[in-house]
Amino acid sequence: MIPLAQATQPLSFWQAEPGSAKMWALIVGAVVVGFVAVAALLRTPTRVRPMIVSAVTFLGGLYFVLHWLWPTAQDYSPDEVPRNAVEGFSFWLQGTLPSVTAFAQSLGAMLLGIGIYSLLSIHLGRLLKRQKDWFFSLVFTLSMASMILFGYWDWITRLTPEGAKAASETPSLFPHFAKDLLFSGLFINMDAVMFSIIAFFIFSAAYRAFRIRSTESTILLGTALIVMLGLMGGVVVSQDTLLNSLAKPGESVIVDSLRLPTIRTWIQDNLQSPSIRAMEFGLAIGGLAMALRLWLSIEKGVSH
Amino acid sequence: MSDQNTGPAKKPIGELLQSANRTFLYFILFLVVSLSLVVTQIRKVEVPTRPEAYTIEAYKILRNVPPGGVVIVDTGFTNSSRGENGGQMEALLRILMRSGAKFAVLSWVEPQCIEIARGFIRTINEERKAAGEAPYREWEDYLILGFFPDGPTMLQTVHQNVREAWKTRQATDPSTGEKKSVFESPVLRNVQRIEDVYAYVTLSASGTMPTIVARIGKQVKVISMITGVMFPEQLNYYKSGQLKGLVNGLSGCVELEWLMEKGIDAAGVVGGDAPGKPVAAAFKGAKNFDRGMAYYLALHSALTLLILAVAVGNVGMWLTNRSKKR
Repeated sequence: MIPLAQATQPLSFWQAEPGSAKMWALIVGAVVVGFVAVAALLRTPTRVRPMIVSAVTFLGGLYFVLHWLWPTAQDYSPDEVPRNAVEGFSFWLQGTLPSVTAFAQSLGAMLLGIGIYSLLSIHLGRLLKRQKDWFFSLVFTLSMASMILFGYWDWITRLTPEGAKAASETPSLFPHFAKDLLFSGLFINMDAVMFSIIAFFIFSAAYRAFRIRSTESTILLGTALIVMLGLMGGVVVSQDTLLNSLAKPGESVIVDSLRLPTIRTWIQDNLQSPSIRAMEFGLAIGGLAMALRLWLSIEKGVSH
Repeated sequence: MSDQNTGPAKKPIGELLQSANRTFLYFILFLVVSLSLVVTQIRKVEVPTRPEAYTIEAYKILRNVPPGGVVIVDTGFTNSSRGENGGQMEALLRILMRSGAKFAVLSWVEPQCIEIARGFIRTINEERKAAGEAPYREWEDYLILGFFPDGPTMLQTVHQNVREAWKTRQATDPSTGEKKSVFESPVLRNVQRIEDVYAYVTLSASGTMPTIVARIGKQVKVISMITGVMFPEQLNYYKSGQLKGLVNGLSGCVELEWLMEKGIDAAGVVGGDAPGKPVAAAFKGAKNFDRGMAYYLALHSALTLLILAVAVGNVGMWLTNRSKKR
């Protein structure tokens, strides 16, 4: 148990206070080492590269497999002394997890960077070469640049307590207004509009495709009808009121069986949930097989 | 030659019913949904609902967070599912703020989720100010832990040691203007292990919940607020007891608002008035119906229209088949 007085955990070599000189030094160092590693990998013979990638993948996966399988202490504390080699290895696994996690966070953040680089390289290339639909690339590039510019401007002005107070009290200040206009005014609404368009497609598709042509489609249509009616609280309550005039809940099995929530719950519990559970078991087994293939670099396209 | 032979042949009624123009369908849907929204706003329509057991369980947990109790809000939705998750987030924030709970917001789905959550906190704070209540203050009452690019490993460390997992995260202490560790804030000061957190609420439009349940589900009560599309998949986790509460899309959001308005009495009846300490009290006189109820009539109208459209198409097919047989 960590003592109450110990508000913060000591930082490891791989971690630093946000904004500190050490953090910036680590970032620059990581970028340099990353570039050197990639350059070195590119210079290695082609037939050796898959072996390096496979070895790194295997070691990365092995750490988490061991973390999962190896017996671990329930209330592990870094100052504990292991009693034997098994416990010693367990402590090592538990002690190194925060650093491994920090490394994984950095890798995840680098992936975001790679995504931005990839998008910019495609769209700037199209824009400079005036290829087909270059105008959309221009719109994309300008939108991205302005969101980054005003987002960071706003963020920097909010860093000090005075700046944060000014931003909350005077929303018309330029960087806050510009960022709010771009994010809350435009982006939020356009994103919501994109998703709501699906409703129109579903409506049109259901009208054209949902036909009672066979026994299976009849069952599907009937089930969909019950589920849709069950989602409408107004219908459920009205039907309940109507059936209550025939018999109160619990008085008649027949009347109770006709209630929409009863039918819907029966479908959910006896048909839908078991089917989904079975699918999830199948997916999980498939996922495990795929994870094994990736971990052991059997999957083609990873190391070949 | 007579005009009868050259004029366009009239479509039989059955075929007409099956071949409605797409633009017409889109227009009807737009009209019906828009009118429903306008009517709800003007007449303040309250469509009744009957909360499901999983929503009731979620409300019971959230409503009974002790003052000062900590809840982790794991936000994983963007504006694409704002119609469902947005209302859930607003209801969640209202319940937590009115109960005096402290909360910390994090995300590991998309960086923009945090910014969206900030917007919702601002909205509810403005509402509190307008109602004469004290707004929730960052650092004192809530924290923004930020975005974690790799959620599964972060959660794995939370399972082992929550202080290790978030130790580099900082927030500004307004009393000194200094950046400090989030564990120095009144929100997380007493959290030594994840078991010290009262509940972990995940709001998502995707399947992030199993990752959470697999790592910390045995240590903390996990509640999932999801979109209607994801609900059937997550119901299994509620049935198995791995999820302690579940809020299903827009209808779940309305149910949550309904429970905030009506409460659950000592006998466990929603809206009942049995004597004794209520299982989960209502927030009488406060603004409980909002985004969920605002969209609920539109959901009814859209689903009714969908059922009607499918019925019309099938009647058309039946008429066509009948005329062919003749």
